[in-house]
Amino acid sequence: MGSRQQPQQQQQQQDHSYFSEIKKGEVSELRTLLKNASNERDTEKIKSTLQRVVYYMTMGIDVSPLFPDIIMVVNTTDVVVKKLVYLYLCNYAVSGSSNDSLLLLVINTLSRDCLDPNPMIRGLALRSLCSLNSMTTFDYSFRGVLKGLGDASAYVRKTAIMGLAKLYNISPVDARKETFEEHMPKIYGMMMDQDGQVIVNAILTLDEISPNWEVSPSLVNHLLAKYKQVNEWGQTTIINTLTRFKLISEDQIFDFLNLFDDRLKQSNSALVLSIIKLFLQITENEPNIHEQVYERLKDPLITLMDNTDSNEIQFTILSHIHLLMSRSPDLFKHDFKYFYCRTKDPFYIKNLKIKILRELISETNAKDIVEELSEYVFEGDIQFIKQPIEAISFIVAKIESLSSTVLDIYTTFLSSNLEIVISYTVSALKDFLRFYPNQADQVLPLVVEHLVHVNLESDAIEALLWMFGEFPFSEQQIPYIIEQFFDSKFNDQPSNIKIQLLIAVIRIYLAKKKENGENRSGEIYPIMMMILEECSSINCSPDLRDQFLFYYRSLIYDLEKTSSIINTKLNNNNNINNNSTSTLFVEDEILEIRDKIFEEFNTLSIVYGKHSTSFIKNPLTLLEKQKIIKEQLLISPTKTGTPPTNNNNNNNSNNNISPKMESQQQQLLQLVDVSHQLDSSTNNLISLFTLEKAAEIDTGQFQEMWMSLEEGHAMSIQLNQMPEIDRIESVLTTEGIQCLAYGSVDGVTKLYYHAKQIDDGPWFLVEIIIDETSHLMTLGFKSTDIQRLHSKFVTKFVSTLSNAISTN
Amino acid sequence: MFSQLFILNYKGDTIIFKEYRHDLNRNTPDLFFRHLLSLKSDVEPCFNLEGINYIYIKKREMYFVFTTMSLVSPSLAFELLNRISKIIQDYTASLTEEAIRFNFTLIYELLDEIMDFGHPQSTSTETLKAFVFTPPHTIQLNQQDSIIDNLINTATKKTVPQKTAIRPIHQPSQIETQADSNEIYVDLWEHITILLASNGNVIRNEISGSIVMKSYLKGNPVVSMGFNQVLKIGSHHRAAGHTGVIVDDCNFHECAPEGIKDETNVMTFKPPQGEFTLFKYRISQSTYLPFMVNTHIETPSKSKMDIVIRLRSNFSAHVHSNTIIITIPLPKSTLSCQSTTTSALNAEYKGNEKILQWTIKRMNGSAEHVLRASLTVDSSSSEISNRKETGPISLDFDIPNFNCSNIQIKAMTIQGRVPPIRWVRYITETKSYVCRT
Repeated sequence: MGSRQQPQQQQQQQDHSYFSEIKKGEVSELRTLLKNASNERDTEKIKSTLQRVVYYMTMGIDVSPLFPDIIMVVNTTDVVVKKLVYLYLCNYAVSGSSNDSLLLLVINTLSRDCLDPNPMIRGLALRSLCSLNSMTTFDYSFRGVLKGLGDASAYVRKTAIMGLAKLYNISPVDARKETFEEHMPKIYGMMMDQDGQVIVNAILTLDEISPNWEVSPSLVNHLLAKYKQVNEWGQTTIINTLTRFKLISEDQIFDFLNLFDDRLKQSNSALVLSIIKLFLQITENEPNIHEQVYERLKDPLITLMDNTDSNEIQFTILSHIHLLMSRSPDLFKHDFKYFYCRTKDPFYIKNLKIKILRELISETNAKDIVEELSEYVFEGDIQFIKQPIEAISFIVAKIESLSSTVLDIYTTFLSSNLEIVISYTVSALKDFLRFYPNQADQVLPLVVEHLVHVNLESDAIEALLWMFGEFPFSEQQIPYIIEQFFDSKFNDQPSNIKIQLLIAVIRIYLAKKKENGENRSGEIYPIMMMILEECSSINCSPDLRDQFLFYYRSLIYDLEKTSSIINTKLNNNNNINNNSTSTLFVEDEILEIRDKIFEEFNTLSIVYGKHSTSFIKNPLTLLEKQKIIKEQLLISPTKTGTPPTNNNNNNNSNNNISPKMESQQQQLLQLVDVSHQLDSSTNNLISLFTLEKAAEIDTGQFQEMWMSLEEGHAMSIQLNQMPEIDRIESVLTTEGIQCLAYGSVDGVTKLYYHAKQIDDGPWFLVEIIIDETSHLMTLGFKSTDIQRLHSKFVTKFVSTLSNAISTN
Repeated sequence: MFSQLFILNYKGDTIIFKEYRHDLNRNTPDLFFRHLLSLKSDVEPCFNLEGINYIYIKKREMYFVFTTMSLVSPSLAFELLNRISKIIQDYTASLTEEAIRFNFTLIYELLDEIMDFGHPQSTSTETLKAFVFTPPHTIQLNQQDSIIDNLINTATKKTVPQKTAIRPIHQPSQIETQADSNEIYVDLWEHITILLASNGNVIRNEISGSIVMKSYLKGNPVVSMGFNQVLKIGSHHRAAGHTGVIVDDCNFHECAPEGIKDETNVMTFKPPQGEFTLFKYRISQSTYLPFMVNTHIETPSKSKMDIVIRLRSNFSAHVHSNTIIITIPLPKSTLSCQSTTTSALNAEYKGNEKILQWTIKRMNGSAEHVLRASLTVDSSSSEISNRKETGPISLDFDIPNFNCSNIQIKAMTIQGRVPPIRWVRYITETKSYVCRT
C-alpha cells in the first residue's frame, strides 16, 4: 500500500504547490484581512475571512501557512468564530509538523473554555482539545478529560468519555497501558450514568480501548432499563453489546425476544439488522425458537428491502437475505415475486436479485421464475443478458420437469437477432447438456441450425466445441463445421479456443458408439491431422503446445488407453466425474463457504461476500480468527506415510482398436519427426513445474498462511465410496504433496496438505473435507501464486488424487 | 468507525470534508472518485480499495461518502448517510450543491455534533438546534429549481405543485417568532409496482406506501392520526377472508413505537421536527389498476409492423394524472417509425435507442387515448425476434390527490391551544409499471 500511494502523494503535493502558487496572493490577502479584522475587533469580518479559509481547506487547498495568524484570533467570545478556528486547528494540527509548537499558544484559550459556565462551550472546547491530533497537547487534554468526566452536564460528560478514546488512539502504543489502566474503572462507572448518550459513549470508548471487555449481568439489566431513553444509534450500540453477552440464561432469552420483538417493526434498517443478529445468536442452541425467529424476521426484512427509496439500503438488505438463505433456504420461497427486477434497478441490485431468485426455486415456483428471467433478456439492458440466461441453466439443473420449457426458451433465444444473446445461450446449453446428456441429439442440431451467420463470443465457441467433443454423434455436420471453422478462423483464435478445438477433434476421432461400434474417425481424421500439425508449430503458445504434446504422445502411445482417459462418459468409467446423481456444478458456490461469514452478520463482509480477514488489515481480529482456524484444524499428524504402492495394472488387455486406426497411428508417428527437435526444449517446459520432495512447514505457519490467503480455487467431487486415506496420503507424498494433519470429527474427515514448488517457488495449501455419509469431497486450494495454482497445481493435484482414489 | 465524511459533486469536487479520526490520508476523495470513473456500470455502494472501505450514497447528483478501515455495519452507514442528507436538507431548505456551498459553516457545525470520533451522536433536528449558531443562507430559487426542491420526497424527480414552505427548519436566535411556523405537512405516498404478462394476467400488483411528514410544530405535541378504515396487518388476514385493507407488513418511525392500536385504528406519536417517514406499509396483492393498457401488434408484411396501444384511465373523472410517459422499446431492426395518436398528443421516436416515447401531459379519469405506430423493419430480420424485442411497455406517471389502496387519514388531532395548520396530500406514483407484449 505504501509504495503505491507514494507517487500519488507526491503528485498531490505538487498539485498543492501548484495551487498555492496561484493562491499565494490569496493567502497573503487572507492574512492581511485577518490581521486588520482582529485589530479592529470586528467579529463579522473575522468570521467571513475564516469562512473563506475553511472553504479553501475543504477544497483541498493548503492554507496551513495561516496557522499562526489563525491562532491570533482564537481569543473571542463569538461561538461561530471559535468553531471555525477549532475546525481549522483540528485539520492542521498534526504531530511533528512545524505548527506543532504553536499549539501551545491555543492551549490556554481551550483550557479556559473548558471551564466556561456554558456547558456547550465546555463541551466544544473539550471535543476540539481531544481532536487535535498531536502529542504536544496530550497532558492538557488528558487533564481536561478527567475533569470533564465528572462534569454536571451530560453533554460535557459524553464528550469527555469519547475524548478518552481519542487520546488512547493518539498515544504511543507502549504508553497506553500505563496511562489508561488506572482509569478503566471510571469508564465502567460511566456506563452506569443516568444519561443515555453518556452510557452509549462509555460503551463505544471501552470497545475502542479494550475490545474484548466482558459484559456483566448487572450491566445488561442496566442497559435494558435505559434502552428506551437512547436514540436509535445508541440503541444499535446497546443491542450489539447485548449480542456479546455470554452468560445468558434461558429465561433471559425469552425476555430479550419479547422485549425487542416489536422493535423489528422499526424503519431503521441498522437497528433491525442488529436485533436480528441478536435473536439469531441467542437462539442458536434452541432449534425450535431459532426456526421461529427466521419466520419472524422474514416480513420486516422484505418491507425494509422493498419499501425504501434508498438503493443502497435495499442492496444491504438483499445481501443479508441472500446470506440468510444459506441457513434457511425455504424461508423466502413464497415471496419470490419481491425479487423480480425492475427496469430501473441499478445493475448491482438486479445482479443480486437474480442470485437470490435462482436459489429460491422450488417445484411450484420454478416455472414462474424461469419465465420471468427469460423476459429480462429482451428488456434492452445490454449489461443484463448473461445473468438471467445463466440463472436459467442453473435452475433447470435442479428442476428436471422444466427441461422442455427451458429448451423452448433457449430456442427462442437462439432465433433472436442478437448475437450476444445467442452466444450466452450456447454457453448455457453446454451446462444444460451436462445435466441432460440424453437431450444432446435434440440440442445440437438446434444450435447448428442457428449458427449460420453468427459470430459467437469466445466462451460460446469453447462451449460449442466442448459439446461437439462430448456428443460427437448428435449432429451429422460436426466434422464439416469444424473444418469450416478451422479453415476460416483458426489463426485468429486465442489459445484457449485452439486447445478446445484440439481436444474436440481428438475426442471425436476416438469416439465410438457403444451399441454398434459406429465411429467418425474417418470423417474427422484429415481435419485432426491438420490441427495437430498446426498445434505442433514452435510459434504456438506454451499452453497449447503443452496440451498438444500430451495428447499427441498419448495417441502415439496407446489409442485404447487414450480413448478411455479422454472419453470418460462414453467409456463409462467415471470415478471422479459428476455422475448422474450429482446436482452441483464444480464451479458453483458452495453454501458452506457463504455460511462462514455468518458470524459477521450486519457488517461489510456480508455485502462484499467475503470474510473480513480478506479485506480488513487489523492485527486484533487476526488473533481471533487464528483461534477459529485452530478449532477447525484437527490433530497434528500422527500417521507416518506408508511406502507408496505401485498401481501398475491393466496392461493392454482388451484391444479393440481397429486395424485402420492402427495404420493411422503409424502416420501420426511421422509427425514425430516434426516435433522431435522440439522435444528437448519442451522437456524443459514440462519439467518447469516440480514440487519440493519434502517441503517443511509447521501447523502455526500453515494456519497463518491459510488465513492470510484468499480462496484460490474450490471444487467438490462426488465419490462412490469412502477413499482409503492412507493410500491418498502415500500417493500424494510421492508427488511431494505433504500431509500436515488429518482426522475425523462429527462424520466429517478433514485433511490438510501442503506443497511447495522448487527453487523458492510458491506454496500451495489444500484442505480436503469428506462427508462420511454422502461421500461428497470438497477441496479448497490456496496459494501465494494464484495463477500457478490454477494452471499447474490444481491439475496436478487432482490427477494425482484421482489416481489414488480409483481403487482398481 | 467512520474515519472521514465527505461530499463530492458530480464532477468529483470536494464540497464538504470532515475528518473524524485522523487515520487516513487526505487523498481519499480523489481515490474514491477515480474508482467510480474507472468503472462504467453502476458501482456497488460500498467497496474496498487497499484496505480502505468506501461507503457512499448518491443523492441529487452528489456523493455522500464515509471512509473507514474497520469492519462497520453497512446498514448503519447508509442509514446515517441518508439521515445526514435529510438533516442538511432540513437546515438549508434544499439539498443542492449550491445550498451546501453557501451553508458550509452551518453544515460543519452540524457534522461536529452529529458524530464524534466517527460514532453517531445526535441526529434529531431539534436537539441539534441548540448547537447551531450560523443562520442558514437561503438561496433564491428560480421557478425550475423550486419544482425540484419543494419536493418532500427527495427520492423522486417529479412533483406535485404544492405550497410546502421551502424554508429551513431552524432560524437561530430572535427571528423565530412568526406565527405561521406552527405547521405540519403530511404526504401519503403510494408507490406502485405493476407487472402484467403479455396475456394480460397480473403478475405483480404491489403498493409500497409511506406517510412522510414535515413538522414545524412548536414544542413536541402529541399527535394522533386516525385512518378511514381498519388496517389488518399480516398476510394471514387475507386467507381469513377479512374485509378492509390488508397490509402485508409495515414499519414505524421510532417516534411511534406503539404502532397502530388495533381497537381504535389510531396511531399516536410525538413528531420530531423536520422531515421524517412516520409509517411505511406494503400491500402485495392489490386488485386495482389505475390504467388499463391494451396492445395489439400486427405484421402485415415482412418489412412492416403495426402497433396499436390503447390506454384507459381507470379512476374517477374528478382526478387527473400529471405527465404520463409511456416507453415502448422497438425491435433493433427498426428502420423508421410513423405514429399517430388521438387528441393531438405527442409521440416521439428515438432512432438511436429504438424507443418510441409517448408523452401525455395530463389525463383525466375515465378517459382513453390511442397510439398507432407503423414501423418499417429490416426485412431480413426474423418476425419472432421482432415481436420479442417489441416491448415491454413501461408507464411512468404520478397522480395527485389519489391513492390506490384507499387508505386515508380521517382525523389528525394535535395537542395544544393554537391549532396548527395541517396540510395533507395523497400522491400515487409509479415505481414500476410494466406491460409485457
